[in-house]
Amino acid sequence: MILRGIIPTTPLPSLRLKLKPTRNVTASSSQTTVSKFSISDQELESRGFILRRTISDLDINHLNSVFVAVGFPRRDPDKIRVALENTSSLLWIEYEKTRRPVAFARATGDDVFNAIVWDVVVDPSYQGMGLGKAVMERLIDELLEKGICNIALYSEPRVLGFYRPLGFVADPGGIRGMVYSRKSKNKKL
Amino acid sequence: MLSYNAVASPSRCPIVSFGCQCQSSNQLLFSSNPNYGLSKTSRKLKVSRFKARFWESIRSGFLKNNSTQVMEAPPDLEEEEEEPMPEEFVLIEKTQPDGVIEQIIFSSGGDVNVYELQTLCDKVGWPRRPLSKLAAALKNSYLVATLHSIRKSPGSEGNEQRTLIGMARATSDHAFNATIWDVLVDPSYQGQGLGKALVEKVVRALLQKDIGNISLFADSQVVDFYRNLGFEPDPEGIKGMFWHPKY
Repeated sequence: MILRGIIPTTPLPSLRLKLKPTRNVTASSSQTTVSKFSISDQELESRGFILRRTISDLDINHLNSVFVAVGFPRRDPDKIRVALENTSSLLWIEYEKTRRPVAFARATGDDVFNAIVWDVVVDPSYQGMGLGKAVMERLIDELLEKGICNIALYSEPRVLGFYRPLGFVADPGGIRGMVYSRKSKNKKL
Repeated sequence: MLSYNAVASPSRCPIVSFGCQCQSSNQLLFSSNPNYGLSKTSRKLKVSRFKARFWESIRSGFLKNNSTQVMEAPPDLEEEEEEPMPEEFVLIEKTQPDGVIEQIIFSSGGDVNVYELQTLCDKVGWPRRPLSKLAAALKNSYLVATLHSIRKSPGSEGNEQRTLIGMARATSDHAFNATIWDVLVDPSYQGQGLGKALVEKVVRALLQKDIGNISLFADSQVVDFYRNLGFEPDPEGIKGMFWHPKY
């Protein structure tokens, strides 16, 4: 699977494998396909950014701070925990030096047909470095690996430009995202 | 006669398959060909009349010679969360001229036979999906709501015919967000407000579970259908986006 517009710049994967034979299986599989992401796992690591795919080492309060920093309302951490425990795919980046989450994204769905991406955030102090893209590319990759090809999200108008280069299209075929609102139910048209 | 032949492929955009043919008594109910030409006041009137007529039209929605009984009291649409909704209940009951009693049962218990579901999907014209995947999708859904038709012949000693005639499901993170997918009603039962009842009940069930954000993706032809149920397109300019959609 090759993402559009990605030009591989890393050396031949097979060479890498020979140079570092002690790498574990997971790492070597990401090495053989390392060119599919804009920033490779190695590059992230070398800059002190650790990729995480489970909530085991995630401090919910730290995550909540990132949510608040980007403008989300502060939500009950216990509820956040429930939400994360019932999320089948998630990815976050931990900054080695602070041991805190600096980027996050998750996707809910039926794990077979559909997935919706929620809570895509990058700590404002770490924005502009490609971390949001890094997290999104990998999340999409994980969903595709599961066979899920209907990947959707709701985008605020100001970040449509972030999602478009990742391959997202707004209102394809005239489909509209709709949200239930108690106010609009009672509103006379 | 309104018909929209909106067949939404579930793998692409699983919303409503709604080739409805409205009978004259339901014309007001399904005036989802939007009221473009109408003034604001007449539209206002139409909506409030719509609410009042909703259950009336369910009642009269069935064929003329039947005695139809609406089992559920008209809901107070403003206070959806007051009483906990039972998991299964009779939506409509009617007696046919031949004495057969038909009940339409709503259930949110999630007990769906995948073979029946596939038959229903065939009826609405959706492309086939592997049964194992259908089963998994149902299992991984937070809420699966169904409509079944139960037909009892008089004096048949409890021999009843139970058919799946509608379904809607929602995925969720159990805390904040839920998304409704795959809303479908058997074409021979369309035009009677069952789709609306289904979605309305799903929304109510989700609200009762304290899920604050209920979303869905609607084909352009059914945007008004959902608007009438309280859904708003692009709230605050937020756009639904899809990854490399097959359009």
